[in-house]
Amino acid sequence: MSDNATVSSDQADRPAPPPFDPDPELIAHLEGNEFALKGYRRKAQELRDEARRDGGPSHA
Amino acid sequence: MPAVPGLPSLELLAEEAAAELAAQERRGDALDSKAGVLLGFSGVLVALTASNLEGGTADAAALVAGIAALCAGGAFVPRSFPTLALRRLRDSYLTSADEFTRLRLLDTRIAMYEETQRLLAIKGWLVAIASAALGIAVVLAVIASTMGD
Repeated sequence: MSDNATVSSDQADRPAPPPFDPDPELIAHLEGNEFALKGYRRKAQELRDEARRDGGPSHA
Repeated sequence: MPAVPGLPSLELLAEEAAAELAAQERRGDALDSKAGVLLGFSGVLVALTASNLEGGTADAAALVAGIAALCAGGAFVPRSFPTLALRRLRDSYLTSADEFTRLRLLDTRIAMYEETQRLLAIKGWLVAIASAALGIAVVLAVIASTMGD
């Protein structure tokens, strides 16, 4: 019980992590497949936008 | 390598992300192999049932084997390999703080991982459907050949 309480206390003291902030432009494609590349970049942008909505502005 | 001040687990998470990406790669290879085997078997079954068996059950077997072949073929479509744009990395991050660049790389790799997971899930479903359809086609072919005797 006391261990659990200590862990909970440590977690509570922890600073919030910075927002999730991938860089879509950093993604390339090994075979130069533009269609696939757009899918990967779109997903990265979606995740970035989602994190910004949930956690405020980027730390960048 | 020393932990980055302020984000002490950053190195650990980067290592875990690299390990997960490698595991993802192996899973993709395994699915490709299964899809290739299923494509071969279902293609042979289509040819055999269409040329050697007659009747509605044989037609159904050929049709279901054809569906299996299509699904396996869809799953077998070469996987895409996302990678890092090194020139962009150099130009945009060479003068950035080490911690900032490491975190951005980690986040970018996670985004790549999540998109690949989505594609692998589709591939996994196609392999599962192809596998089930091939099994049904085999049963139908056996029934058709028995009825034809």
